[in-house]
Amino acid sequence: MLFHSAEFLFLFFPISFLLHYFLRGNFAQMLALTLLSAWFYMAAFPLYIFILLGLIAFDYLGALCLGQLSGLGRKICLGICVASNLALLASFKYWNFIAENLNLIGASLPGHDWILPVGLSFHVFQSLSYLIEVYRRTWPAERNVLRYSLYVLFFPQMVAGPIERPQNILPQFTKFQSFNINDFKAGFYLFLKGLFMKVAVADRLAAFSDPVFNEPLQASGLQVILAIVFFMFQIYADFSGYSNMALGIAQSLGIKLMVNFRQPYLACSLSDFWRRWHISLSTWFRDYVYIPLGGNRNGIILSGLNLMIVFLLSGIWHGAGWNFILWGFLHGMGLIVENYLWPLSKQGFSIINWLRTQVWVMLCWVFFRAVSFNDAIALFNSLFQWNKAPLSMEFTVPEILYGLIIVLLIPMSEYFKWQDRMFSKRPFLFCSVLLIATYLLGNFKSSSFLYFQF
Amino acid sequence: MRLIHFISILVLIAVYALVKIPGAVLLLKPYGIDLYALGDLYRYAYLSEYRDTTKFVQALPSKTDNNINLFVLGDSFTASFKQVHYQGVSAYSFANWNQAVDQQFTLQTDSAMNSVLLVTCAEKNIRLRFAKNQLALYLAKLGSTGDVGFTLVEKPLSMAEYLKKYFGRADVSDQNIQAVLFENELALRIKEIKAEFNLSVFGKIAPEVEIYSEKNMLFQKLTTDSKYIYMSSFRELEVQEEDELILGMSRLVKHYKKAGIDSVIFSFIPNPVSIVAPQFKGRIYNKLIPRLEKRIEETGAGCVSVYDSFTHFGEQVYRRGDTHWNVKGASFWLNRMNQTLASMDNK
Repeated sequence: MLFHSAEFLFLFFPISFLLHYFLRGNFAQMLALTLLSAWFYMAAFPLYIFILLGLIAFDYLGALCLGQLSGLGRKICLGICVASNLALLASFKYWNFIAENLNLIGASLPGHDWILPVGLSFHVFQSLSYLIEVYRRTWPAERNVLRYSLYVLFFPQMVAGPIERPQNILPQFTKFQSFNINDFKAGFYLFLKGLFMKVAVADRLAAFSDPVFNEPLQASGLQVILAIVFFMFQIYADFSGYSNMALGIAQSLGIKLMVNFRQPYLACSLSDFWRRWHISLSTWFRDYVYIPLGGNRNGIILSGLNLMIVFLLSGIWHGAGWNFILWGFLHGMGLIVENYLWPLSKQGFSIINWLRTQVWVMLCWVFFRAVSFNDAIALFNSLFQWNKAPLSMEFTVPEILYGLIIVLLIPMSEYFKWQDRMFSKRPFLFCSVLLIATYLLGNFKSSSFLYFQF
Repeated sequence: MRLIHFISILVLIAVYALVKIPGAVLLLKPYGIDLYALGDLYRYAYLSEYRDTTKFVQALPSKTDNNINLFVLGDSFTASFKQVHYQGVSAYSFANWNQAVDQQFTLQTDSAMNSVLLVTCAEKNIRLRFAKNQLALYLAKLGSTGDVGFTLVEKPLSMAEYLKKYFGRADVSDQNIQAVLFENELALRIKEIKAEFNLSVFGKIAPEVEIYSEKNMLFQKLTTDSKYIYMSSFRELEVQEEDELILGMSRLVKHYKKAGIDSVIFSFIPNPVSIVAPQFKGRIYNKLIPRLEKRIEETGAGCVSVYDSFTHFGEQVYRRGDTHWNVKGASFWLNRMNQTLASMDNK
């Protein structure tokens, strides 16, 4: 179920909202939210709820064991839990990729045509986060199975994050807040901001970038440049739009989720970019992979290697394909160069550092978005073919101008905080204008969110 | 307090059922606007000038006694006609091509009556339906044994299909909710404002349609853009494909004659663009209908042709914002059809 579908906006959310605030008692509220979340999940592939319930049951029991055990048994238990979670993810998401590549070197492994359960990578990472925290004894094993189920299932963040931590969200499920008008207003504003980014920015820009990325050989140089720039903003608007909607929905229910984006395209270094982009995932890798590997404490070579491992894993997390792995590799390389080989000339905002960072990020997105590695190369080839007849597209000149204006306005608006300032001064007026703009400029027929595929 | 909870749960179940069950929401909107009546292409474009509010009322023919058992294999063009609209028809049954894709029909003839099968097909669907593989599928579904007329046999649902039907049909819920909230005059006006804004600022209309400003009509993109292999009026038709279509039609005729049908009649309804703008945007009409009608005798069937007459009438026989004919077009076709039925011998 999409946040901007009629079913969600006019049926699912009103029912959730009313039940949440009208039901008395924590148990009833938790039960209602859990059942509603199951309904939300079942809107896509109903049968897959059993996979998710199996995962919840397994990790719930695993965490209880982790809480009881100590020493080697504890480590073995964590190993089994982590391996099982990753095996589930691998069987759906990575098996075909592994089989295809091993078959190239002589194996004969069969593939499968299973549909990837929506948001499986997010569920697995959120579950792993809980198991690791319990293992580290930084959070006790949750005894209330309903509360743990809601931790995994909570519908605003279940299909595309933010990937939550038990410390942030489980206490909020222990005692739900009563209705607060300020939370509701702030949640509504976040939702509206996210909706605008999704339907009036991401889906508009996608109408240009999608055909070019899907047929890179046919596109002309100018089309490729525009498509790369537009995709850079499309993916940001799509994912941050989703995250803002998720945060807004949760906040209107009195639950505060972690912020997932902080103006990433204002970053002046790659490290800064990764502190601002998909924060819940980058901090997950930092806390559960990078620091346990030794972080930056073991000299340049090992630190660089740790960085590379993290970014290769991040690439693989995003998708089973060499283009995602290359995307991760390029970011890892960029960070190694930036940290150890060619450090930034100065701290703070600098146009040169900003340009250097954002151009690198933009070029990396090509590998992320391209259908395959070969398509990415074909796109770069087309980049230099200026005399070629352009790809036939149903995109008008005013639409291109709109795209360019958006591309300029997003970073400026974030730098000067125009939207937030206008909302704090005239909330009703600003929300009304945003609502009208969303309606007039929005493409509501379109698609799912890009990050749902992960 | 318990009573309030009980009532709340009942209300929730009722709301859920109304939203989830296809068509159930009609109970709530006795005054709702039937958007298809305003034009199926208007329903995409929401441009006010293509809104058509004329009522589709069809005059009935005089009664005659030909004792015809008429089977119609048709689509939206002929779905609204009933037995009374056809002259001298004593028994009548209708099967929709679209339903035949995933449901099973059976057919039984009565030897005391003259069994006539009328096969109507919109031009945009001809190449799809009479293509070799697709036709085999239809013929398997539109079987030749059974009890009464074209009888629809519902398939039982599997567990997975059942769950999908009641939990996973976001399209149904979305349509039902939109029908309640956004298919009224006020909402239509708001949609029209958005459509006009997008047309004037971005030069864009809904991707499903194209504007033909010369005659103030909307055309369905599927029929105007030659990249659509089956439906476009401008996609080139090779002689080999024409032969294959004729072969497919012959197979259909043989199939039903073997099942006891006495006569088969084909009737192809032209795409509006084929008639009104055969050189739309410099493209060249592939003349699918005249080419097939010219060779209809090879199939062993008859034909009710409107192509030449519609070419003469032009835009007068089509609705402005719709893929279908208007009352004039429908009446003309029905008269032609009834003339053909009247000319048939009694058994």
